[in-house]
Amino acid sequence: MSSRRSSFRRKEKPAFDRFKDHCRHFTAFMFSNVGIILLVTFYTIGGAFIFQAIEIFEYERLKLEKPHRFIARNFSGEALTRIWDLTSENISFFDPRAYRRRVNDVLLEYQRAIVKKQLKGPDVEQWSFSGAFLYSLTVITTIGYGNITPQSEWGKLVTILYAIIGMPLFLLYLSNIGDVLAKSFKWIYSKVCLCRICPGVAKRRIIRERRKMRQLARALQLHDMENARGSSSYSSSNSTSTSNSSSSGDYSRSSKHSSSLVDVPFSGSDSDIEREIRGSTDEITVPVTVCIFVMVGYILWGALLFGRWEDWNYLDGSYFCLISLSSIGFGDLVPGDRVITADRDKVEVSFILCAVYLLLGMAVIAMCFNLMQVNIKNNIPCKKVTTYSFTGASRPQYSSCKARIQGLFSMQKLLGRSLSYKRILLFTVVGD
Amino acid sequence: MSGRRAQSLPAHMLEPAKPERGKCVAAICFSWKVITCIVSHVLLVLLVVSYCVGGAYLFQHLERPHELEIKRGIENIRFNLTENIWLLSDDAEVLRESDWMANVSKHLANFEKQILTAIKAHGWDGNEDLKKSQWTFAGSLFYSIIVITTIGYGHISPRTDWGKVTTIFYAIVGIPLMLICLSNIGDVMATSFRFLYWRICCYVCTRTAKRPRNARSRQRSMRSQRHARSQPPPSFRRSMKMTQRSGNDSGLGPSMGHAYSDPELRTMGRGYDDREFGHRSSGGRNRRQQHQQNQHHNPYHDHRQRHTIYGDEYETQTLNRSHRYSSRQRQRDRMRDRHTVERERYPRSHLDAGSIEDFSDVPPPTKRAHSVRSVRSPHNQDSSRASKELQRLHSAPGRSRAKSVDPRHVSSHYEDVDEDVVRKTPIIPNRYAMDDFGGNGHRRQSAPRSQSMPRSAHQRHRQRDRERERSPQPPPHNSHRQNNGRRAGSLGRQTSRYGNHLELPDYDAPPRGRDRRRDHSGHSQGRYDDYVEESFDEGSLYGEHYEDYPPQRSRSRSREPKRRERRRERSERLPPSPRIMSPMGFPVQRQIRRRPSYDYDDDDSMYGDEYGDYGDLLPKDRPVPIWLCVFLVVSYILGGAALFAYWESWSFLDSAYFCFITLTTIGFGDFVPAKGVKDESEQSIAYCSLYLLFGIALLAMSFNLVQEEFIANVKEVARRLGILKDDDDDQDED
Repeated sequence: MSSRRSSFRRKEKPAFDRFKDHCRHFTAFMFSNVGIILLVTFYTIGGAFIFQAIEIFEYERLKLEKPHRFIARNFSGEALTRIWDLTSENISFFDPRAYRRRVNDVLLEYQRAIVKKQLKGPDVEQWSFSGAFLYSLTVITTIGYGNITPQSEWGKLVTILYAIIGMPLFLLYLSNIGDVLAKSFKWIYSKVCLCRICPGVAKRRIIRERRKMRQLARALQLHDMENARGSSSYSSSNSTSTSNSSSSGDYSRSSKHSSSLVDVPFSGSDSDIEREIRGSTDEITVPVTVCIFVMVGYILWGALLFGRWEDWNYLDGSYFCLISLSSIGFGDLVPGDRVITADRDKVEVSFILCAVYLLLGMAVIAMCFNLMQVNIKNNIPCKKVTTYSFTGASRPQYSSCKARIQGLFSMQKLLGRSLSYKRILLFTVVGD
Repeated sequence: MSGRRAQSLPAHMLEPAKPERGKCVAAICFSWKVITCIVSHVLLVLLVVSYCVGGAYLFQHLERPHELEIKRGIENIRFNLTENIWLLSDDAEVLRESDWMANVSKHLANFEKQILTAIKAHGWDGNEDLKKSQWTFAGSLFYSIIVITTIGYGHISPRTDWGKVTTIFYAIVGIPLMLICLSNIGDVMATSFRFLYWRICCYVCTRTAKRPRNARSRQRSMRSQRHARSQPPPSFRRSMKMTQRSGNDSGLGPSMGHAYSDPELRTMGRGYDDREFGHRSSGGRNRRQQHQQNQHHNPYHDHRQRHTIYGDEYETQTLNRSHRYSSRQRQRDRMRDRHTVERERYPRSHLDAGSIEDFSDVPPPTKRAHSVRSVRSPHNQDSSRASKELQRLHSAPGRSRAKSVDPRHVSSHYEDVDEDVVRKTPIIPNRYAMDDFGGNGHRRQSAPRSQSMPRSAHQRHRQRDRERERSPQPPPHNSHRQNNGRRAGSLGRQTSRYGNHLELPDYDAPPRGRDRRRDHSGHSQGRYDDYVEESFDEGSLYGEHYEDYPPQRSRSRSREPKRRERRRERSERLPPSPRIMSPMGFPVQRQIRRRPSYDYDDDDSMYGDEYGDYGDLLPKDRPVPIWLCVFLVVSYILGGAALFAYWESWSFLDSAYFCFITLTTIGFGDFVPAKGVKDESEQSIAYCSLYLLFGIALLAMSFNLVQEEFIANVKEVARRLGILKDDDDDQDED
């Protein structure tokens, strides 16, 4: 109805409508697969600038208001002079024990000063651009390392608002990119792992599979005939192959194939096989093991990368990657946050590197969940699973998926619903 | 629309629900529900708690020695430095300030570096007291919670290698576990919150919203009183339910017709009036009143109905309907209602005109038979035969007629049904009847008929339209089939037929949408709409697609083997009037659908799209407004902020910031409870943990509540903005 209205309006004021159309196209582009990456990137960069500006501004203001707080005290110098005083006082060294005690007290004070300074939180120095970039990224990904935190009140408020907008955006990014990645991964998987690139192997494989299917279908048919005898008449033999009289997992798993088998003649002509080889990769399900392997591989790769870049060992690297990608984000290990931050350039680069790794890694994880979900959906030994045509719109699919899930408190539910808290949107999207 | 839909609510609610379900059974069901709920939820929560406690012990065991070691190390470092300085001063023959200073400052720098390393790399908290540990039991417990909720403050983190490895695996197992638990708690909370909201908070507003409906229901009850005099008492809603539940045993047979016809009438009248005149309610009411009068005017029908086929609801229904039929025809001239309108809109063909003429001067059932016959096979217009059939009908058991309504049923039993079918069909004014008479008027010709259907589809569609509006035939076969263990199947079929029917070529688009909506007020309207529109052209696929819809889900699974076959038939046969079917169809579905479990919140999605029409829905299904959930979450955050500001003596903004960062699981760790001035860290850890658990569960709950609605809204917005084409809705809903 709205479209009709808009078309009506188009006749009236074409200029405005053209403008509106342009806007629409633009927004559509921005929410498309390419656009969403740009959107997230720009949002993060913008956030980085905003936070940097806010923190530095607030710091300057505070410095002007309360300058005494910001006099950088030279703790080591103070300690040094005090120890020198002690030493020069005790030049005769009457009491080495007393001297040591006093020196120890001085050192303890010095140590406390250091600790206090360290634990008070990161100072404004850390709000470099890359630091702020990483900060905004950790906010919208809900990782939250906490190596840099806003100190000013405005910074905190803006962080809240930024997170409210940014987290859905990031989830959208995840679902979009996860989808794209899943598709491309499926494609790669079908080409490489299923050997669809070389037609001979694929052909043989398909023929083999079909033979298996046929046998299964025949068994199914027989079984159904036995079951159905006397009870009711079948309008055609086709129905028998897909009527799930039995609830066993074999049947349901095979039913989809057997139904497709019914469509395809048993002879399995070359053209059919060709078509199946060239057919869309949507039907391919990537095994769960492969997904898990991809995730683990990504984490290990990150460990390798950060190990070389940050001089962490592998354990630290993989620990960091897992903690980051699961969005726990302790912040005990943060790239570029080493004890001695010697050169600033390297720190910047490592921040950016970490950001890229995170963005990609989240998408990869989403992809793996996507694939696993599809896989689980297809593999659930539920009675009505795969018999019904998937040619319909998405809604029926959705509801049918839901219908399938109903009966069993399944993994699907585990993934789709219970992750609902954090990735709710992602997974409802994926579940669609 | 909401008013219309909501109209059915009062009767629904006023009737004592499920009277035939024994108290014992109900008690058992309830206790089973409670037990399942307790077992699943409590066990899950216990599992998570024990997981946390186990993790606490584990991490404490792993990390505490290391922490103590670090603390001792700090002391040693300082002691060494003191010793060094002493040696420096002692060994020097002459204490020259510059040399000494240079040496000592080197040492000091080294010392500082060591301390920083201890803080950063080894997680030393700056406290040298060996008795005060970060990795106490409470601290470890907090750490476990922080890990599996993925908050990750990072105020304490494992420093040993084993601690890190353990954390990795602990997180891998724990995070999904926690999420399950949280979503479970969220579901429970959502259910109870919904219940609270709709039963208690919104009782007043729903009542006020129902006022127009109440008038209606009053009217209905008046009518039922009158019926009580003239007829066995028809309790509309209840009888509807009964049909679903215990068909023949209910003993409320005669009321059936009303049970069905009432909603049917309403929907029809309302729908058309709505569309054409804009004052539907008055029209519908009018007609119904006239109806009642007519029922009084027709004692003959009532009487016959009562004693010929007493106890057999199907026959009763038929007669009831037929009598209504006749009454309506009598009024046809007076009332300028939807009938006329409909006829005007769809100028009838020659055949139709003939059949309608017949209507006016032959006794009702015969007339109908006539019309039916005329539709399908004009050469067969034999009134004498029709009357014969009528006579036979009166003496025949009504069950077979029910069978005739259900082709599926017949398909398995058609050998012995034929005769009855032939007899009965004349009074079945709907599509099935016509279908049954397609060709030779015999059931056996099901296959040829179904094949021939598409050919004459157009004409028959038209015909059917008028037939339908004229004959508010409830689908009586439902309860009957239930006895045969097929009820569930019939439901799915109805829906599918319904879907088919909606696509009648005669209809204009807007009416179709309306009808569909109204008829489906029980199920997911929006989706059906979309779907049906999409699959408009693929007639043969209807059955298949609809198979995926709620009715199917609600069907019990033991009937699987038949379904394929049924579907096949369904796709071949055109459905009977959907308006007739759906009013009784949806309560069945809903009753079946609502199983005693919390795991069915998936179903709510079916309802989420149109929350304007939840008049008929159970409180469980009704969505809660988004603003309420948002308000809840915000108030939770603010309340938490106040509490933490009090406990931890933070400023209010800091507390709010902390709560937000925590509940969104960002978890910077710049504010962490139990690090403040107070010493009782255990207490604040306990507070924080509780706050966390409930807060995240609350978030899950509000997501649960508003999820579908929210997605729908966002989709709508996106569509407006042009982000979303209609095809790829699933791609982006954020």
